[in-house]
Amino acid sequence: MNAPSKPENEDETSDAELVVRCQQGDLGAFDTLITRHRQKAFSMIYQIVRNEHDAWDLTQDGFVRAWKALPRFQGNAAFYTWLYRIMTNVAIDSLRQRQRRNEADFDETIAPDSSPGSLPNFGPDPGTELERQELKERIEAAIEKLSPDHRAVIIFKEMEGLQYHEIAESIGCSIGTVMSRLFHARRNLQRMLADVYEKL
Amino acid sequence: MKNFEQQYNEWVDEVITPEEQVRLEKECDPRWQQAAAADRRLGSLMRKSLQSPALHNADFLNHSILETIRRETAPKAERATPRRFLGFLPRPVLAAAGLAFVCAVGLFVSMREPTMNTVDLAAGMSNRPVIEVSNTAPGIHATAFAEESYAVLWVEGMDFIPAGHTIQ
Repeated sequence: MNAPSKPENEDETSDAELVVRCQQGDLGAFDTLITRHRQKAFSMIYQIVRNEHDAWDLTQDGFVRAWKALPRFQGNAAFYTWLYRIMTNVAIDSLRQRQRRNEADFDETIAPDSSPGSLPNFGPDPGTELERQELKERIEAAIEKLSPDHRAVIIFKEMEGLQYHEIAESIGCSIGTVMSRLFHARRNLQRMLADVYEKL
Repeated sequence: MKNFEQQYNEWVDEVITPEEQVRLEKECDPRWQQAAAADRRLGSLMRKSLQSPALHNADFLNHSILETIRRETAPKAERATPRRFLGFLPRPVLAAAGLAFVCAVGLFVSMREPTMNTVDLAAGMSNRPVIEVSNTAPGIHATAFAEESYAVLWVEGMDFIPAGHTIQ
């Protein structure tokens, strides 16, 4: 492993160049990649696990896994989608372990009906801070009841603003699977939030 | 041909083509239009209310990651550099070779000195003292034995023979 080295114009170096240097054992190049992607990686993991401390630890695990997997990275996809895929797997694995303990899974098998059903009346923005806080808590609770796969897809779409193909690359599945998961995640969320929004 | 799930998502995310949107709105149950609007609203609310916190101790995260990598990869490097002599051979092969070497040495020694069996040795050492060492201190007793090719000096109670003493 080479000693960390930082060229003067490190920030202008592309991810691909840094990856090549990482593959030669340059930890300094990996340090730059971490700095470049750490906030996004942390944010993605946080949105899935919904716990700041866990997200910090999992971000660390994800980068260590990425370093170990870098020799096998071919460069067919963009580095960031490859990295997000590792981060997603780390987060989903963690979530599955947690859900196995809690036995609180919820997916389309629970709600097989794909009709719109009773729709949440989101209406105008809630007027008070209390309502906003309650709304936030209800949305968080509903998201936490989604299966890890559904949760990742809806988070990547709505929170991270990824496109369908980027979600597919990040999760490691087809666009068709992304579409199916996104559709069912939305249906399940509407169903879970319907009663809440009717009261507001 | 896109299935309904794909069309619906594109509709909600407003990336559907105008033609497809017109056709979808015409063919779908009106409740799906409301559902799509509700999903758009939900997405907006999620973005407003579920923002991620900023990454705290960001530089320490880098440090922690790099330290973990160094720690986890260092033992491998240490194992790789100072390879032991014949370290590339499997342990069973080395053990067998060692055993064969010991047997060969034993065989060689026994063939070179055929008189050194236990009976001869006992007979030779029992009653053939040839030199008596004069002992000056009490509790010290020295005996010597000589054979054709070797001599043994047996000293009890003394670590070394002082320079002034002579063996006669």
